[in-house]
Amino acid sequence: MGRLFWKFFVCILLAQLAATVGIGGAVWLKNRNQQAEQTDIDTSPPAEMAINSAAATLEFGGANALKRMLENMDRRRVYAVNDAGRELLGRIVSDAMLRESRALLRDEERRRVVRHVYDPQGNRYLLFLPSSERMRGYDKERSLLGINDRDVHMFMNREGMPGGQPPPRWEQPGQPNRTSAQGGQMNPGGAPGAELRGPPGGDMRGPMGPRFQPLTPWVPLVAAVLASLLFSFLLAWYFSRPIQALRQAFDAAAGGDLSPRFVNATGKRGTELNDLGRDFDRMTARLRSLIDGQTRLLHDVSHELRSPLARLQAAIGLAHQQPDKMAASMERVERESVRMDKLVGELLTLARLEAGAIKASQEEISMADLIDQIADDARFEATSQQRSVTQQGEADVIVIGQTDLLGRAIENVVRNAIKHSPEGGEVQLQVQALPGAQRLSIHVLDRGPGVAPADLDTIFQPFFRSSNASTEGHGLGLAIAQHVIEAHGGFIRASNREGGGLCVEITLPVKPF
Amino acid sequence: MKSKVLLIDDDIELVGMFKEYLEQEGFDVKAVHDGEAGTIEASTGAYAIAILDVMMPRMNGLETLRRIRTNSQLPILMLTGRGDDTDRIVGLELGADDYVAKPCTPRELTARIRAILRRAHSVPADSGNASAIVVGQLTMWPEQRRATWAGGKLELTSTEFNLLEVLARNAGRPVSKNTLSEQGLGRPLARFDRNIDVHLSSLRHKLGTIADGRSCLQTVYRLGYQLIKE
Repeated sequence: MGRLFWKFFVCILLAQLAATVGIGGAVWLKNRNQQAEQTDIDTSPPAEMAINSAAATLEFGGANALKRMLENMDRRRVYAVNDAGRELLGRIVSDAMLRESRALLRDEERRRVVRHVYDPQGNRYLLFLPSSERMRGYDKERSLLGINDRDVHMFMNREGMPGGQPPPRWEQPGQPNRTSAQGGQMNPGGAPGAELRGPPGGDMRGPMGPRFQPLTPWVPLVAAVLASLLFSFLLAWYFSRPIQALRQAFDAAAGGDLSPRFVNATGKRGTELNDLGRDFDRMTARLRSLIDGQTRLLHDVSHELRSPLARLQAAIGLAHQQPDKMAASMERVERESVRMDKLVGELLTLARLEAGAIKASQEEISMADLIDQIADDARFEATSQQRSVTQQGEADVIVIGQTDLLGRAIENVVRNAIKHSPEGGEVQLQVQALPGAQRLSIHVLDRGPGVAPADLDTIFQPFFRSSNASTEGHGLGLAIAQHVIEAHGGFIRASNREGGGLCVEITLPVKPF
Repeated sequence: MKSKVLLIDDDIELVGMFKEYLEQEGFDVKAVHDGEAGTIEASTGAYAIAILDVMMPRMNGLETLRRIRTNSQLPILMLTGRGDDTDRIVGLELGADDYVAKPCTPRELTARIRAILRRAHSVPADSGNASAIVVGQLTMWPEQRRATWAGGKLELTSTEFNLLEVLARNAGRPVSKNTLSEQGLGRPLARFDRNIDVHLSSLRHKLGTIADGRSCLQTVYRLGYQLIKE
């Protein structure tokens, strides 16, 4: 559990908290708006009908007729307020509601739900229907949300006690919970008249209140907090674990341990973090092979340098021992130093080729001229060793590249063939242009001992020497040839000839005409 | 009489020069260029010492050494690459008497050959009465270059014999590595030289244990080695 884990953990927890607060706030705001609307005047068509009938009753039957009618109604009991601000049944009416109804009255569109009506005595009444009245009817089906309770209390707080109708004892402001907890009957409709008049009607929801009250706020809250902690933990772990593993892998790699670490990593392909692990393994594998190659090369180089050095020291020792043979010893010393110089030169060429130096300068090479020149040189060299070189085929094509390097590559292959040929043997240099494929093919054939099938690819590695090779050469010639040919976009491969001997095939892309 | 030296190395030119140098120094040199020929030559018993290159194609020097040691206690001087500690230690464990790092000067090579030959043929002056050295179960007859442990014959290389002889003459006392190198190997101790340790480790395997189960050869911290005298 590193710092990263805790960062993820805290971030996810904060995100969850923010989401909770956001959603909770939105819900709360919406609720509040609904509540605000519910204090509004009811503008629905049934309300309009109720207002119409109340208006007709008042207009033609007088205030007492309306009073009688309203007292006998259960729902949608229209409020009738005279100019003095007194309600017909003595119900409490807030200033805000009056203001709102008057505002609606001025509004042409909704005139019909709020009306001014004159009774036969000429008193003017304002008729309207608060939304709370509409709710009264299905209070029983509604849950314990107590939406309207608050309205009632607010109502009483502001208005105090209206004359004539003493408020019910239990609806004292500031004590709503106690009344509820007592299991007392409570009507949120704000219509004390109804209570006074009929038997208590809200009894069936009474007992449910106290059972839920102490538990409700805590259980979901604790559960939510626990769930949120759990999910934060799991998510943080899920994200931080692979990153932690990668970090350890990088640490180990920095410390020199390049072994693969994610081979056994379970998980689906395609997850970015798993892919990252696999990429890391690929990277270390590549690094490992590069480092191994370099180490092997360095080891080989030091060994190869050691042999001429040992001969140099032996020659110097001889010169000390036998000063009379100084001239012969000096000749040996010279020969060894030339050999070392050549080795170092070849190594540098190889290193430059591996660094990709061939791209630096490129020119058009006439292959016919180049191969003629190589064949001439090889023939001269072979004749002195009682071997011969024959050239077959013509290739008047152009290859793009570096003349000296390409020449050296082909020469190395030819020389190698001469070196391994038996005395009196013949080396064949076959050149063939493949016009269809825009390629040039060069075959170098000898009748030497050939190479073990398992070593056919290995002969192009630096310092490879077949077990029966003489001490001449360092095993770098073919390695250089391979690098050069590949840098020119071609390839080189070796195969054993039927009837003995080796065939080295070089294929090069030619410049299109 | 000229000492016969067997040179086993694949570098023909180098061997030629060494041969010329050593012959000038008064040795009789025979050169072969691979391990198989070297094994055959060594088993003839005609040589006083063999010089063996570790890096050889086909049968390498260590394998050659192992084969020679199966039937011969011929003193062997290894030519190893400089810095090839593994080769060196494995070679000493296989029973080589000493090593020279290649490239080396012919003079150094000659000096090492002389040191090994001197030890192999040395007849200690103070043991002229042909008496055996007896330490516990170990009995040594330096004149006959023979040693036994509890009556059984010990197969020791000449270097191992020399080192054991030095320890036996000083039995019950620690002998410093420097003394062991000078008297046993015939040369002063070089820095970081593990030669003595490797030889004593293989001696420890060949010798038995004393009564309480410990090895009879004990390392004495900062002083050297001691042959326990019971």
